[in-house]
Order: sequence, then structure tokens, then C-alpha cells
Amino acid sequence: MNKFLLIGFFILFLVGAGACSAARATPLDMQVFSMIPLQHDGRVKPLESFARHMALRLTGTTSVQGRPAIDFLAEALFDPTRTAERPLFTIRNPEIKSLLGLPEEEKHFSLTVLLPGLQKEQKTIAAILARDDKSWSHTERALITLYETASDLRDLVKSLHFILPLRMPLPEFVRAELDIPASEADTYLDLKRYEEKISTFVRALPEEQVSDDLKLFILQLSLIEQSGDTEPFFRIMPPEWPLNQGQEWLSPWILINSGMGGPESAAYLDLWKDMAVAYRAQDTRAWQVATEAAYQKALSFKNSGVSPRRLVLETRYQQWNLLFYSFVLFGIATACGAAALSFPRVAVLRYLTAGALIPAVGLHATALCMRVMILERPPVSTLYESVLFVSLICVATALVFALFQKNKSFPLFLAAVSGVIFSFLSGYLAKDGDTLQVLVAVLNTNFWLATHVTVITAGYGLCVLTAMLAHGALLMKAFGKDVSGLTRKVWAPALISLLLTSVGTILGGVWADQSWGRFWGWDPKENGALLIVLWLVWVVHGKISGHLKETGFLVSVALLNVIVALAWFGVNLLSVGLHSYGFISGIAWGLGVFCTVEAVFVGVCGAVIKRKSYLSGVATCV
Amino acid sequence: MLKKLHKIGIRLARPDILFFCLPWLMVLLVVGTVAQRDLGLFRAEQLFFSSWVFWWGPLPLPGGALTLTLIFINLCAKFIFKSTWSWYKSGVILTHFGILLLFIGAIFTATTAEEGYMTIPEGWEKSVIQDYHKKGFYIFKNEQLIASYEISDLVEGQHIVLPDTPVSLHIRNVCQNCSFAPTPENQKAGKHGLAEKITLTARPLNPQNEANMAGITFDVKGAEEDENGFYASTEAAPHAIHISVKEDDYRLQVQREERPLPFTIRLIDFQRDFHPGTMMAKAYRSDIEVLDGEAHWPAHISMNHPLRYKGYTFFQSSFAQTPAGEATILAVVKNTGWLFPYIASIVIACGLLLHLAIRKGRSKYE
Repeated sequence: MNKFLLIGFFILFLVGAGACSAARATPLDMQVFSMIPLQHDGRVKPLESFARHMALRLTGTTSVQGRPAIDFLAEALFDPTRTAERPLFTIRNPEIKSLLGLPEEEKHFSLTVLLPGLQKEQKTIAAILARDDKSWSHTERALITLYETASDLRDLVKSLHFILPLRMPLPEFVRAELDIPASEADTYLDLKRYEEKISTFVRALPEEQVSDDLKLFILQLSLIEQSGDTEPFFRIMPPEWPLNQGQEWLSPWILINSGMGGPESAAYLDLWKDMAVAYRAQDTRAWQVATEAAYQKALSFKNSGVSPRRLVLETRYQQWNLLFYSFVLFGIATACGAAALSFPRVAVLRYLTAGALIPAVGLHATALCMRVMILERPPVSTLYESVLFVSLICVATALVFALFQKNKSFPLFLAAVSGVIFSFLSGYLAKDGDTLQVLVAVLNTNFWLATHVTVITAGYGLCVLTAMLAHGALLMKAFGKDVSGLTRKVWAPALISLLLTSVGTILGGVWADQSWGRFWGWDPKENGALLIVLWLVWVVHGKISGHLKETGFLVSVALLNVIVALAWFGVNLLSVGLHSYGFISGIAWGLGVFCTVEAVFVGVCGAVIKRKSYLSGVATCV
Repeated sequence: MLKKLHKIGIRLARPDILFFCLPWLMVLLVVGTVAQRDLGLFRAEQLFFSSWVFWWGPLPLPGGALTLTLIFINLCAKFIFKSTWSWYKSGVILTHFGILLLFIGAIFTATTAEEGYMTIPEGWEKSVIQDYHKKGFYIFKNEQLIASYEISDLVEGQHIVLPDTPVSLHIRNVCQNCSFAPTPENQKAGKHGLAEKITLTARPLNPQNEANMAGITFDVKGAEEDENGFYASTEAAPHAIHISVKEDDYRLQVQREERPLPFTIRLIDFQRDFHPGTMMAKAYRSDIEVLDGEAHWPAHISMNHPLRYKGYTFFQSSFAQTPAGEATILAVVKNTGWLFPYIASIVIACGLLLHLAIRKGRSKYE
């Protein structure tokens, strides 16, 4: 039965690997468009990254209604009406539906349907926002998330309104009277230069000559103008003047309203207009020319600070999705590894495991290297990056361990399982949005990121691997196998873990001494790191002194996983202390489940081993 | 005698002490960390980590200081009486020595280090540091400190007599963390200064100790008729109370403890850089001038780049918007044991590496 389960598992992963491509919905080539830079969340990034960020906020995935995020972005910018009418928002909460006046029986809603309700409830939303977010109910939290997401999409769809053709054109008699060329009466931006002229003309018209068309046209211009008076959201305009010392990019609306544009900006906006025209006509050739020209123009701004190499690299990083493929390969390797453990004589299963693991590690390492080159900083700076790095350390060390073992199946399986678990975890953390983030002031130091953070996270990785080895040894011992050899093999990684975590912790202290003026401050994050060190010191000394026998030692090492999880993630849930940049929420439940499962596993194994040893003692006596 | 000492040393070096102390230290670490959510770091540290004994209901339990002392004694005894002085054990000995150094450094820091902060608005200069936690009620006579009381020692109903004067202060209210409300019009009679404008009432302590604003209210009796009455003083408002007795001026004020610096710091410029288009700080930097006697020179302090001078270290801690303009907040530390962790970390790393290398070499040989 077990064998069939394993095979089924294997097939599932293969199917999963094949089903990861999404069909394109537009014939336009988005490659160059996806590389056009914008400034968002404090750094310059390609549109591809921004599109994925928006898609994640809207749908929780990197695609929107089965279409790539970049296609969705292009549509939202150049054909906003269609996007606004797409049912992109999923609402299941009946209280929110009732509050916003939405039909009970539906669960997917468009922006145009949502906005009136949200505008009506502005006061309710403002009252919730004025309160501490810890006091929000589940429904209130969902309402605020919906409000913020809808606001972002609203800001996005109107960010290029002024270069799109007007729905209500300028009445012909006015155009003729004012001698405005037809080619310059197409968009709000075109008509902006005739604003004064049109206004004077309309004011001078007798009441009876002001037609409904003209009234609607004026209302339309006024609405577009009002919609532009918001926070800068879509910052695609590089700074043109050296006075902008903050190197802050501007949104087109802010550029127009503040008069901070110039000839370069005007030319760049014209290219965006060309893109809009080409997109709306779905003209492949024109689109290609316009996107290429816009990309080159964006790079030519003197003060933009854009690095074409990093733009291309980040676009590739997002599009290649190496971490997803490494996850799939880790999954395949796990299935093969489990099969190899079940059928130790079938050598091909071991080769298959290794065959899936090696490219998986390669892809994972490549993704990390790309991140280092894009962000120009060491590989670990955020919680997400620490998971990626620990994953790499775990898998790579297990592979090296396998090289020196006779029985390679077990370390290969460990490598694969750790790869799957950490890839899954990193995928969960990546749901918050862009993972290529800028850092707060105290973290802006490559020296300490490269030393303390790298060493301590490598220590976490080694701890996890050591604990997993102990899990295997405990399981085997519970099944009555002799694990004295394996127990000896746990010893060396436990010592290396102690070395890395203790040196990492002390380096953290030294960094704290440099930044905050004290080596040790009993801050939760510091205490977490110390807890791992103390646990390892206790285990090592307990083993040496004989207080911990084989089973006790293995149980203690296996529980190291719980200690690491608490120190790594648990302390961040407290939201106190100086390490505020690492605070997280929403994982308490998962962490609780993990610790419980670990405790139950270790407890059951320990109890079974104890019972067996008691029974064998009784048998010997008899 | 030596034999007896050796015997005691061997007993103190028993591994059981470490084996049972470490789990207790871990329990304290976990409880003290979780307690920070409600108690705040300062109080949790005082209760669990810095205490010798703390009470759990009626049960006295060993605190962090006692547990760490036991571990330190155990390690010392092990190092002196039970170390196997051989090449094979050299890594272990070196590691233990490094940990001893770390302990010694911690003892130095705990007994001698001074911590405080300076808030300096742009263009201002200061030569005093304020304590983060110690707050007192200070009495100055002609700007000379003549008496001081820790706020936590003051109690309602206490009488304080200004030395060599008939003037006495009758404490009406003491709050470790005050809330402030405007004094109602019909209650202003007989009140002076700050008390005329605001009323202090006690509120629960903030877990973050620095956020607690201490204050007291008191009656002044025996002074000039127009100076007798009800007064209030709080660290939140820089309004000192002045009472004249004959030719002397008495200044009364609640404030954080101040310690003089042997030199002066002047803030020339404070800069905050943000990641473009966000409110996320990228860097903080204070351009200062150090004035020591006749000499003065410029210096810069930024995140991760402190200034060290005459045993004091100045760190970029925070910033504030004060009535005098943008101000930098510098953490100031005087710690004679600051080098210990640096040396200890190198020794521990070398010791562990040496131990692993020797083990590896030996297992290969075997």
C-alpha cells in the first residue's frame, strides 16, 4: 500500500510541474514593456516586478484571472475601463457584502461595483483606521484590506487617464471655432494646452448654445482633473532636474500638476501615449517600436540612477521563477527519496533523487545570486531571505553529507524534505508582495549583513539539519534498529551548529554594540539566538557528562527544531524590542501546530523506545 | 588547606551544576522574553534577568543574576581544577576561556557601565547626559544641587524641608506615569505655575519605561505669602519651580538624572535620508562639533558609526522635533569593558574551530 502511495505522490508532483505555464491573452510582446523602470517602495524596479506586486495584492498570486501580471498591468493602464469592470475582487464575508450593499449571492466583484459602497462607508473605514490595528475584528481587517486594494487599483487605472482617448470628444463646432487640429484634440493632455482658450470660449457662449455634449465634455475634463489630484502612485517619470536631490521619481499626474516637467519628460510622456495607442489598437509592430523607444528613453534620463543590467536581471528573475521550479524539483526529489528509502535495493531511485536535487540546488543558488546582484547586498537581510538561505544551507550540507556516507538515501531524503519545507515557507512569506525590499537605516550595512546575519542563519540551517538527522535516528530506533553509528554522526553537525550560532550571536552583540551602544540588551531577538546556543551547550555537555544517554541526546537534538523555530519566527510575534524591522504576524497558528507536531513526534518516539528498552530488560531478566 | 580547596573546587566543577542551571536559565530566558510584551523590556529585565531572587507567588525562585553566577563559578572551577591540559583538549580549554572572558566583560559592564542619552537641537551644545530610567526630584539653591530624591522613594504625605529655611514641601501626589488634563477654572485658586494650567493624575505604567512621564504635586508652606500654595512638576514639561527665600533662589524640578560630560557636544546639522518616495529611513546622520577646552573639531555620527572619545561612545539613537527645531538623540555609553566581547568572540570562535579540527584529525587518524 505504501509503495502505491509513494508512486501516486510522485505522479502528483510531475503533474504539478507540467501545469505551471499560463497562456498569454494578448498578441503583444510584453518583454520590453516589462523592463521599463518605475520607482516603487523606495527603489527603481522594472514594471514586471510592479505588476506582480499588484497581482499579489489583488489575487494572492502572480497572475490575474489566468493572465500574466504584466498583461493585466498593461490593460489596467491603457484600457482601464475593461479592468475596472473585471470581477477581480473576491468577497465571501456576508457582513462586508451587506455593509457595501453588494448582492448576497455573488462573490466576485469589479472595481466599478465596489467603489460606490466603499465611498459611502468612508466614515466607517476612517473610524477603523483611527483605531489601533490590534483591536480590529476579522471583518474590519478584511474591510480595510479590501479598501486598500481597491484604492490601489483605482489609483492604477486612472494613472494614465490623461493620455488615453477621451470618451466624450471635444464637440466639433468648438474644435472648429477654436482652430484646434483634430490630432491635438484626442486626449486630456492634448487639450491641456488649450484649456484657457476653451474655458474662455465656453464662458462667452450664451446659455442656449451650451449643448449637452459640451456639458458632458466639460464635466469629463473636470473629473479627469480631479482624479489626478492624489498621492503619487505610479512613479514612472525619472527626475529631470538636478534640484530633485532626493532622486524621487514622479507620477505623471504630479508631474503635470506641479509643473516639474521639461522637454525630456514631455517626450517620454508622448512615448507612453504611443504605447497606449498601439495597445488599444493591438498593433504588434507599433507596440514593439513604442515600448523599445520608451525603454531607451527612460534609461537616457541623466538623474534616473537606473542600471540597465539590474533592470534586465530583475525582470529575468521575476519571469524565470527559478524558486518555483526548484520547489517542484525538491518535491520530485522528496518523492524519489521516500521511494529510495522504501526500496533500498533499487539504486535508480537514489540516482533519481540526486538527479532532481542537484538542479534544484542549482536553481535555488542561482536565484539567490541574482537577488544579491539585483539588490547589491549580502544574501540575507529579511526574514524571507533568511528562509531562502537556510534552505540552501540545509540542502547543500545534506548533499555534502551524502557524499561521505555509505547509505546515501537518508541524507538525500533529508536534503529534499528540507528543500520542500523551506520552499513552501518562503512561498508563504512571499505572499506579502515584493520580496526585493529596501532596508531600514540600521540594516544598511553590508559588513554586518555579510558577517553576523550570514553566520547566524547558516547556524539555523545547520541546526535544522542536525535536528532532522536526530529525527531519522529516533524513528529508526523506535523501529528497533541500531542507530549508534547515526548518533555519532549527529555529534559533529551539532558542534558545528554550536560554533556558527554562538559566533553569530556574539557577532550580533558586537553589531548591537556598534549601533545601539550595548553588547547585550535582553531584546527578544537576542534572547532567541541565545536560547539556541544555550540549548546546544546543554545538549553537548549533557552528552559529554553522561546525563543524556543515546535516546535523551537524540530527543534533545530533535527538539532543536522547535527552539530554532521559536527563536527565528516566534520572537518576531511579540512585536517588542529594537528589532522592529523583523516583526511579523499571522504565523502564530502555524508555529503552534509545528511545535505541537514536533513535540508529539519526539514524545511518541521516545515513549516507544523506552517501552522497547523496558521490555527487552524484562526479557533479559526472564 | 590546598587539598580542601581542591576538593571544594572539584565539587564546584561538577557538570551537574551546569546541567541543571542551563535549563533554568532557558526557562528564565523564555519567561522574561514573553513577559516583555506586557511588562516592557526594562521591568522584565529587572525582574527576571538582573535579579538574584524573584517571587512567584509565595515561592522564591533564583533570578538570572544568581543562575549566571552559579554557571560562572562552575565554569571557573572546571577551568582551574578539572581542565585536562592537553593538545586534544586545547580547543575546549580555549572555548571555556573565551566564555570566561565574556562573563568577566559582562561583570565589568554591569558594575561600571553608564548609559544615558542627549537630546541636542540643531545649533545647540550640551555637556550633560540624561539617564534613561533614573528620575528624581531635584532641589537647587542658586543653581547648586543641594538635595535630590528618587521619584520611586517619594510617598504621598511626605514632608521635605528646604535646608536652613522655614519652607517645607508637603507631597500631595506622586505618579510614575502621569496623565495631563487642563485644570478646571474653578480649581485654579491657590495653584501656581504648571499646576494652574494642568492637573496631574496617575495612570498605569507604560511597558516601555522611557515613555513613562513621572511627576509630583505638592504644597509649599512657610514661604512668602504669594509663593505658598499648590505646585506641580513633571519631567514632561521643562518648567522649573522657583521659590525665593531671603536672597536665595531655590529651583525645584522633576527630571531624569543628569551626569556631566567632561567636554561639550554641539550639533551642527542633523540629516535624515529616506528611501525615495517613501517615509522609510535610509540613514540618520549628525554632524557635530566636539568642544574640549580650547580645542574643537568636527565629527560625524551615523547609524553603525559611533564616535568614541575619552571613554564615552556616542551612537545615533533617534531624533525628535523640539520647540527649538529638529534635534538629534544620541545614546551615550561609558563602558570600560567594551573590548571584552570582541576579544571573547575571537577566542571562542578559535577554540571551537580548533576543537573541531583536532577531532576531525583524530578521527581520521583512528
